[in-house]
Amino acid sequence: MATNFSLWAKTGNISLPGTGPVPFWGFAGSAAGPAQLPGPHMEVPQNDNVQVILTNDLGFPVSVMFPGQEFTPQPARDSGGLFVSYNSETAPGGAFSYNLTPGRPGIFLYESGTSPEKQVQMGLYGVMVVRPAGFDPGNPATWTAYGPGTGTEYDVEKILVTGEIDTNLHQELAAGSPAAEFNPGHFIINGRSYPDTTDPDSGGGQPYGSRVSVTSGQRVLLRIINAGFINHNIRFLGITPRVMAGDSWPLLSAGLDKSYEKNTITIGSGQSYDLLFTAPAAGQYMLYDRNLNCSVNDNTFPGGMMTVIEVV
Amino acid sequence: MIRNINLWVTDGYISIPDGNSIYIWGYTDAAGKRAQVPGPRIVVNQGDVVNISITNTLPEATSVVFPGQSGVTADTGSGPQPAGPKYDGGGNLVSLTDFADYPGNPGGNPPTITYTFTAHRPGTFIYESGTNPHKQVQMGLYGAIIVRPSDYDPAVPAKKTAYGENTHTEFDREYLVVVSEIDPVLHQAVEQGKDYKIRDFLPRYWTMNGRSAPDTMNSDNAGYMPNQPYGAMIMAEPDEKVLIRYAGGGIENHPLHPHGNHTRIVALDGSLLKNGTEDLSYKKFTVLVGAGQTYDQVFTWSGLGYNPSNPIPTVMPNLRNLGVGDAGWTMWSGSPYLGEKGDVPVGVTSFNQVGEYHFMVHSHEEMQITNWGEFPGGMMTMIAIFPTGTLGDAGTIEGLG
Ligand SMILES: [Cu+2]
Repeated sequence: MATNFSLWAKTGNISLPGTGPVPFWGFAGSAAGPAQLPGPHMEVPQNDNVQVILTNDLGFPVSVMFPGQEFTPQPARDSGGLFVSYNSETAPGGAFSYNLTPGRPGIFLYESGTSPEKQVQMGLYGVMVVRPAGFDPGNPATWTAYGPGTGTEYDVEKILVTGEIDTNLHQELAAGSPAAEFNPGHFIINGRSYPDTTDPDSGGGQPYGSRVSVTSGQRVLLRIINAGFINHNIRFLGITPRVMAGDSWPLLSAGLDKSYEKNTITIGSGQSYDLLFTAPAAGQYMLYDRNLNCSVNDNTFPGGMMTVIEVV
Repeated sequence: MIRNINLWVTDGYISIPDGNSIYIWGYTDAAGKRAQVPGPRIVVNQGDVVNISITNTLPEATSVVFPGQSGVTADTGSGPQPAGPKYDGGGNLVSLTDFADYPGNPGGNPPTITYTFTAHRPGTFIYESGTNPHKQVQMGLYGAIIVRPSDYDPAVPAKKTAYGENTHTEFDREYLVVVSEIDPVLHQAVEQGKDYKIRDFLPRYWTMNGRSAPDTMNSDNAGYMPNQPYGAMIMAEPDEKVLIRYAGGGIENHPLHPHGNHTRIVALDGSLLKNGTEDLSYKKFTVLVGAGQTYDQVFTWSGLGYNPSNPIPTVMPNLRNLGVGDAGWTMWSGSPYLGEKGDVPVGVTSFNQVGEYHFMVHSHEEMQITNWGEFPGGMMTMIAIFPTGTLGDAGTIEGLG
């Protein structure tokens, strides 16, 4: 089996509550499509041979790395031998093909490995979902996060990618200035700040909504992955999920159940958690960052890293 | 049982050891009293129906969320409804949950509200504001709830537990330490009715149970801190099982560690670390107390080769652990001895009245053990091990409920 993805690194603009257009750099899923935040979800079967072709439409070198994957990065060096990128990069106008074989299921970031302190903040990140053996998208009976015996059967899956945006920093980097102080005033799930998080999926540069719409009694798999620079404390009201995996290592296996319930989950930069809960009685349940200075847009509550779990 | 708890939401002042006085918003347990930080401890039993009524006297709406509880209802006078996010007529979220309005708001909600839930599970939980929480929680509207397991019986050692018999959570003494941080400039902005700019958040004080060191080590209800009633000193005798309940009341994470025995984490956010017969509790030295989260831990002091026939087992510790300052002052323990008093260095006063042994617990983000930059202070307290038979109290936390 082989799966091919093509990404185009481009400039674009996103909109956040209370701001004008905010320039960003992101991955697009087609040559004509917009840069998006986060980049296109890539879904692949475990043990598949995956090829990711990156085309660079930006004005500086860019790369992709795959943290958490069995993949050997090729750090790039300049002509003087100095380290410049975590992984092979491609010059403006160029293209590069990455090959990897994801050996275990889970949810993984892909993100720029070139000047990541700028390029990841500017939006060059996305998610690769690796499906376990036996997973059939057309057959709900096969839907698990980590395969049989891991306790991760689900009815509804939602991916939530967290991050932060400093709009001043974005303006300066987009203008080619050196990186300024990082003092984010916007906090995002799937590239949007509340209340935009609760809008449906859409086209354009911020395609992924974060509203979790489920029916009472359904098993809900929330896959939270932190692409930002700050640790966040993801808080649930009225629901206490069970942590089933951390960094895509399942906590339940034959003979050993290390899964645990937790109401507020600290998620560090680059980390992921798979959380499972049974949807409770009908109603709206808030999910937000208990770093309460990240549940705002600038200085105003509500906003930022917040969404709604809507149970009908 | 039905538990009826009444809280008032109001303002007040807390005192900081550097002489500062900080304006706060908080909860209190009687009309007309000043607010306290943290809010009154609530102690109920598993299975209880808990009614918590709040009366708002602040100039803005307020509410209470109960993370970790399920099936919470809210009643503003027209009967209980499932509690949930509240929106204005334009569909804009105004509160994470049903709220009590400010008094006299024309056309607004009543300034009182009653939340009800069944305490389904034992553990340590937080209650805190769900309205403008970036401001109200930071101003002091947070507190903790302890839910006793249904078989709890403090007279029977096997049933004096955090999570029930056979959960490996027996304790002789328990302590609750709610940590937070204070940005005095933001507090002053609220006091003076100025803009509250959370992006400028820059804490200068760090607190345990609303107090900064060395006040953390003073007793409960110390008279000069009427609005900070809870001490944060952990006291025990050798061989006792000590349950420490940490709760993160602030908006930052704080790494706390003891300079003695490491603790065993038995539960997170009120969820026991046990699956069937699988005991998932684990030992930890530095516990990262996450904002809005709780950590229940058990430890037994076994330091320094102590045993009852060898009550003075130690050599004089080095000066760092003594806490003898360069100006000649002694921070807390002038003597390492346990059970009898020994000699202390010349010119140094011993504060260990009965020969107890002290070691510190503090945030390892060391700037947090200052009061506006002055060490020692902030998020720091002591664990004091007393000679066997000298601590008389029952070792359990009392609260509203
Ligand atoms: Cu230390």
